[in-house]
Amino acid sequence: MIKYLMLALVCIGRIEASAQQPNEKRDKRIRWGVLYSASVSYRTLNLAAKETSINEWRNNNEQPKYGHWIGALMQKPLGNKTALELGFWFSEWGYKTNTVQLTWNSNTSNGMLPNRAMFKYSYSHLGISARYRYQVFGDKIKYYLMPGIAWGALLNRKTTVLARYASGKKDASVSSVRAGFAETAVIPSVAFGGLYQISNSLSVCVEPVFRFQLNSLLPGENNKEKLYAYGINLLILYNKK
Amino acid sequence: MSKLKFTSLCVLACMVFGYVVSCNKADTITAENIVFKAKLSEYNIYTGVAGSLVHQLDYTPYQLATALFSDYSEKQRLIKLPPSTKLMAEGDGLPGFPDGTIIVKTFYYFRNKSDTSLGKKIIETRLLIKSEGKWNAATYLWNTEQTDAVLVSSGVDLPMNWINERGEPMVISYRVPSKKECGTCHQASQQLTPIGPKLRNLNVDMEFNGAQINQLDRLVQQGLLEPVNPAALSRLPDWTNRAYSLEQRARAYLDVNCGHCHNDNGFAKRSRLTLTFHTSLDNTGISSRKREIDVLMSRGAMPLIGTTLVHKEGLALVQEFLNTLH
Repeated sequence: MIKYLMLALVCIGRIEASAQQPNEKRDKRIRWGVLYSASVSYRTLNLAAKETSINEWRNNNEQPKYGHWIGALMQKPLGNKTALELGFWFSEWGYKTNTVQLTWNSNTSNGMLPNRAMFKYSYSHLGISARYRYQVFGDKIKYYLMPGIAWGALLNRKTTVLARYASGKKDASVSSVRAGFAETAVIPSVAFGGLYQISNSLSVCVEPVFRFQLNSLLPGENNKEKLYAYGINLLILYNKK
Repeated sequence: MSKLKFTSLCVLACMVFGYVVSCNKADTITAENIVFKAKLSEYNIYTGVAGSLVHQLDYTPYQLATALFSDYSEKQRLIKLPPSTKLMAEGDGLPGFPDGTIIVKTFYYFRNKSDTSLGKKIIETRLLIKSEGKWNAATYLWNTEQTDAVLVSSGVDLPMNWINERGEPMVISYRVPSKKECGTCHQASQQLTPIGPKLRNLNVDMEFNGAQINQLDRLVQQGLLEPVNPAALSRLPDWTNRAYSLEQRARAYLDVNCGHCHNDNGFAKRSRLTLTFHTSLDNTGISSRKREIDVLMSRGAMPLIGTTLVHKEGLALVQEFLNTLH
C-alpha cells in the first residue's frame, strides 16, 4: 500500500514537471468549492470458505442502493494543467435487500399485517480527502483525470426497515450502531470530468467517479466486506477575480 | 517544498496511518485457543429434532432473574460442565468456571407470542467454551429447515417478523453478531468473558417438580455448584417484579443491559458511568447524567450494540426511576 502511494507521489511530481509550460501564463488562483455526489453503492463479499451459505444468501438477497457524498474543498493549481484538491466530506452509502415477502402464522386478518418488507443498510462517514487533477485536453471545457484518496471516520451504520401493507400503507423504522464495525475507512477514487468556466470567478465541474473502500467493514476477521460506489460528482468552484 | 505540498503530504501520511491502524488492529479479545466444530449438531446438545430445543441431560438449563434485552427474542440458556467438576462461588459475581465449560445460548422468536403453539423460528446459537483458562466464542446460524446450525464468524442481518403478545406485527432486521461484535460486550480487562450467569443473577426462585426452589440450591443438588448459602448472597431483582422498589428494578435493568460495559473493566470504562447493581447510587454517575441517559436510551443510541429496537418497557422503567432523582 505505502509503496504504491510513494510511486503515485513520484508520478505526480513527474507529471507536474512535464506539465509546466514556461510560455503559458499560470493561473495561481485558489478555487473554493462545494461537492455533491449522487452514486449507486454496493459491497464486495469475500467470506471464508466455510461461510458460503451467508455469501450466497447475501448475494441473492441484496442489491445496490442510492448513496451520496457532500463536501467542501479547495483546489490549488500546481501547474498549467495540474491542481491539488483538499477537502472535507460526509458520505452515506451502503446497500439494501430485495423486497422480502413476509409470512405470518396467525389468525389475524391479512390486511392488518404487512406483507412485504425491504431493509436498507447505510454507512455514514466523515473525513478528509486529497485529489490530484491533471488536465488531459480541452479548452473551453477542460477535461481532466482526477485520482484521489479519502480517509473517513465511521459515524454510524444505520438500518432502515420499510414494511409495506397490501393497502399501500408503509411503516418505517430506523436504528443505528457504530460498535463492531471498522472505525475508519480509506477510500481511493478516480474521476474523469469536465470543468466549465461560467464566469471569471465561477466554474462548474461534472465528473463520473468510482470509489472503493480499501479496508473491510468488519476488521480483524477472515471475512472481508468492502463498499464501492459509482456515480456523478457535481462541483461548484469559486475563485477571486 | 511549498506549504501546500507539505500539507498534502501530511494528509496522505494521515490516511496511510489510518489505513494501517484500521487493517492491523488485531482482535485479541476474541482470539481462540480451540477450534470450533463446523456444525452445532457435533456438540450433541439436543436430542431428537434439534429444532424442538430439547436438550441432552448433560446440558443443564438455567435462568436469569433479569435478562439482557435482545430485540424481544426468546433465549434458551444451557450450561455443561466437564464430569466431576463444579462451579466455584466467588462472591456474588461470575462463578469460577472449570476448563471445558460450555455455555449455550439460543435465540429464537415465537411466530405468535400470544399463541406459542403456532411454532417458533430459531435464528442463532452462541457458544462460549472455556479452554486453558481462556473463553472462546462462536456463533452458529440455524438453517431454514431448523435441523442444524453452521459456524459463522461474520455478522449477518436477517429479516425477522413475528406477532408480539399484544397482537401487533413486528418486522426487524435481526443482527447476528460478528466475532468482533461479540467481543465488544463480552469483555472484562481485555479478556473474553460471560456476562449473564453471575451468582446474584442466578439467585432466583424457580419451579421444579411442582415446587419452588432456589436455583442456586438446585445447582448445588445437581452437583454443578459448590455449596453456597443463597441467603448470604445478594439477589439481583427481576426488573418486572413490582414487589421490588422502583430503584431496585431500574438498577437491575441497568446492571444487566448496560453494566457489562459501564464498569471499571468494561468496554465503556472511560465513560465515567458505572451501572453495576452493587455500586452505590452516589458513585454511579446516574444522577448527574440522567438527562443524557434518557436521551441516549430514547434514541436507541444505547445500548451501543445488540439491539435494533428501543425496549419501550425497559425505557419506561428507567425514565420513571430517573424522574425520581434530583
